[in-house]
Amino acid sequence: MEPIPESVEAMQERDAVLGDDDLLERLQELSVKVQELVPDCIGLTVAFMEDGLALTLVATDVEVALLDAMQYLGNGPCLEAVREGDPVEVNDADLLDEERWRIFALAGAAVSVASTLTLPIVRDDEVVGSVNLYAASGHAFGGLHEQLAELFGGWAPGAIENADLSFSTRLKAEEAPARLRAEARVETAVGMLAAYAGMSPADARRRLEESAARAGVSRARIAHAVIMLFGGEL
Amino acid sequence: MSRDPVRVALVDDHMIVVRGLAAMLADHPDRVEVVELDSLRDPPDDVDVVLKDAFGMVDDLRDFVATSRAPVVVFAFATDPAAVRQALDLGVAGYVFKGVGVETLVSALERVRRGERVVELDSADRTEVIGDWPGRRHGLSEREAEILTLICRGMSNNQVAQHLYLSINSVKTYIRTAYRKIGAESRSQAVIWGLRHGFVPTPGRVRPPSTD
Repeated sequence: MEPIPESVEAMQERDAVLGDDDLLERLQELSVKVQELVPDCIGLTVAFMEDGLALTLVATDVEVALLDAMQYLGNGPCLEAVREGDPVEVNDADLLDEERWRIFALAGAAVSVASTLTLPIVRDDEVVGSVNLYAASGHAFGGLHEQLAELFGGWAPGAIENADLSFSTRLKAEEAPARLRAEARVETAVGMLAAYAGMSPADARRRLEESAARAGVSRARIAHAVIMLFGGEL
Repeated sequence: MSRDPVRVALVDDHMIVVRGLAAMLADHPDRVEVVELDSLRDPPDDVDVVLKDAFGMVDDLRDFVATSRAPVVVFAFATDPAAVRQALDLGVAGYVFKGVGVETLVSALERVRRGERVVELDSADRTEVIGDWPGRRHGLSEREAEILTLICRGMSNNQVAQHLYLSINSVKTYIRTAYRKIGAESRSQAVIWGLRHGFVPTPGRVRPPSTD
């Protein structure tokens, strides 16, 4: 699988101090292992709660084409599922929902998502993020929770199947670059306020948030105004 | 053939940078006379050549070159052909890589006064780190300082990369090493440090120069 362009961009904008620039490469390596367990896995998203970063990898065109070809040959999971009358574990209304199809199209997958697995990532008894896996067949993740959880440091008992058939995490991943850029802008404005107004970073942040709330605008917009006020170049 | 020294104005947003340039050229009084140190955004008058340091440069070079009476030489880190071509297209008379030695720089200024268009990107004669910049005494390299300057002006990582013709990975590496040197753990801390240590434009014009 390969990262969507927005995930590449998100890693570029991520705070350099975090120092995990090889995260996407590591995810790609993991995606290979996932596909060894679940051959028709067509996408995965890892989301981190701390800074709102969400990264999505999707099957490459070649992988999807191969999957399509397999299904066309008649032994594929979708056709098999159709024959069994239990195609994708979602009802017909969901499948015909235009919005869902739009999201599927956005996912760039030639085959729709038929099953998903959500795994919480737990560190020191706290949920710090989640992994979502997406597959083209209806029962792709059955019996594999433990093995998949182990790959991602996830918590198998907390696994949930088919919680995100609309692949909504992909949309979250698409928004990640803008979110990280906005956060960097807020950080810069906080630094400027603290340095020029002689206040602590915490006070500067609180002042900026209060100003945004009072004006009814986003923190990023106030941050932009602060940066321009102090001679910044955006 | 002996000639009067080239009358040069040194320009950058940061006075510490132009003072560093002046100190660097001070060993060649017979060939270069620094007549003005300038950190304003308007080109100086009454000189043979304007040497514009690209450190932290965010203003429009096009306007600067168009309104300058004297030919402009850009002194920059970027050796990317696109960066050089863009500067030449904007009408600069010379483009000199910051890695060159002082002799090459002085020679370039002389040639530009003679009406040549000069591009010097070879660092073969460089012997030591030259010039000065904010944060140098805190151990920041000029590149790290330049990137911190742009961050203090509000640029995103990608904007910095595009501005300096660097890869995004290089920019993030420079940011990380700079943060480590100044003890910053976040962008806001880095901005606070930068603004308290001279990483802001310091408008001024000094004539005659003081290089101490």
